[in-house]
Amino acid sequence: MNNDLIERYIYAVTRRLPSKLRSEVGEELRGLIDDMLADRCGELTPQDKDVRVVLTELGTPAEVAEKYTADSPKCLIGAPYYYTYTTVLKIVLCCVAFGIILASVIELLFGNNSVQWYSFLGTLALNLFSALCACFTFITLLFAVFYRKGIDLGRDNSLEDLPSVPNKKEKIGRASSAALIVFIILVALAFTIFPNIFVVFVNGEMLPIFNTEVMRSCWYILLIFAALGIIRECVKLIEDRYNFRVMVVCIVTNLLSIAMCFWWLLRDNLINPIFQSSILDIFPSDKEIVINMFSNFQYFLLFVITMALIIDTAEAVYRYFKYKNSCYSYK
Amino acid sequence: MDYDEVVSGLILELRRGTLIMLVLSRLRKPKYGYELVKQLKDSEIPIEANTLYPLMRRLEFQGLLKSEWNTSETKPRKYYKTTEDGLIVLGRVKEYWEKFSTNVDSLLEEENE
Repeated sequence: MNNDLIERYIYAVTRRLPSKLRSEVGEELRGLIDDMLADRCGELTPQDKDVRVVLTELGTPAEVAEKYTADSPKCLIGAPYYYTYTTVLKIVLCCVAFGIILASVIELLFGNNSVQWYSFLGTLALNLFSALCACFTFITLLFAVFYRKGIDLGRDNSLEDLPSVPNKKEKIGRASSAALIVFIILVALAFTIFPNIFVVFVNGEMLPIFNTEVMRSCWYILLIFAALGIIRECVKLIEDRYNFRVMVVCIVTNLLSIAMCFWWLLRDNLINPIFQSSILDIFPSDKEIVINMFSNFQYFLLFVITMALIIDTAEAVYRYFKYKNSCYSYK
Repeated sequence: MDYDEVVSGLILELRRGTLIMLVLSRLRKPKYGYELVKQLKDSEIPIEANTLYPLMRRLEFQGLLKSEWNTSETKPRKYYKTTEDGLIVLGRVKEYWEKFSTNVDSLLEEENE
């Protein structure tokens, strides 16, 4: 009898199964094949032909393995997450692409390096490709985890839980989230890849405000900053309205973003020393506010970004508490 | 229209739940998989081994069946038996099935008249 064929068959089935099932299913199949052969041949010793017939009757290894794993999920992201996934993916990818194109065009128009059109297009294509791939991976991973873990995306479970139709102020506009994603990408790219677009004109010459080298070396901080912002906006896109989850995500991501800003902007040599030393020559001495602002440009920037993040958080908290009970207000 | 394909699809749907009920009822006494395949086949309810084995495993995972390897015979075999929970579930499903099949039968009869 061809034991080798049986073992090869069992191996072909079990290698398609999760590892914890393998040995037991293997034993089970070995027993089953033995019983089927005994049933077929009775007292006679089974021949190769019998083994072949029995194994054919049992089905191809792929079929058998398929039946053993019929319960496990067969897709990365299934219903009901798939629809939300594609919506978020479309919006985020469009925004990221738009942001990168816009940033590249701004760099081309106002940057102080002269670049050839083909190298511009080449860099643009490369940046677009890598950024879109990264976003795609990130969002897909996020939703795959949601799907696997069955995380409730706040969809309607019972009639009592059905959320009220959000009124205009309660609803988070897709456009505003989309615009913010574009803005975040623009800011992150401007500071990491093209910090030299921030310039002042001195006697017809461009003087960069930032120390390009130091600024570029902070790319990872800005990457985290941008990722936090995109997560926040994705959650807003998924939830569609101000609620508890949006509030928590806003608080957490914004606090982390503020921490990132402190880490980023409080380092030394971030401002171009030539710019720093020539502020008094550049601006007329009667414009004290402007001089003050530029002399402490890092702190000014830190203040602006922190304020923006605090306002965003405050809005999420305020709207949550304001509309918390809105679903009962019609009773 | 490919009638065979539609019909086999419908039959598959009809058999799915019914088979689970039969497996739970047949395994009041412990049996090994192939023994059950043959028994059902003799009662003209054919089920393929490659359907029954994974099915029994799933029912065990759900707590409706329990299994034990019997190594005292010449061949080691895995015996399955319906659990207490399985019997309770079976009782309720059976009750439903009896009413349901009677009603379905009478409606189908009506149509024939």
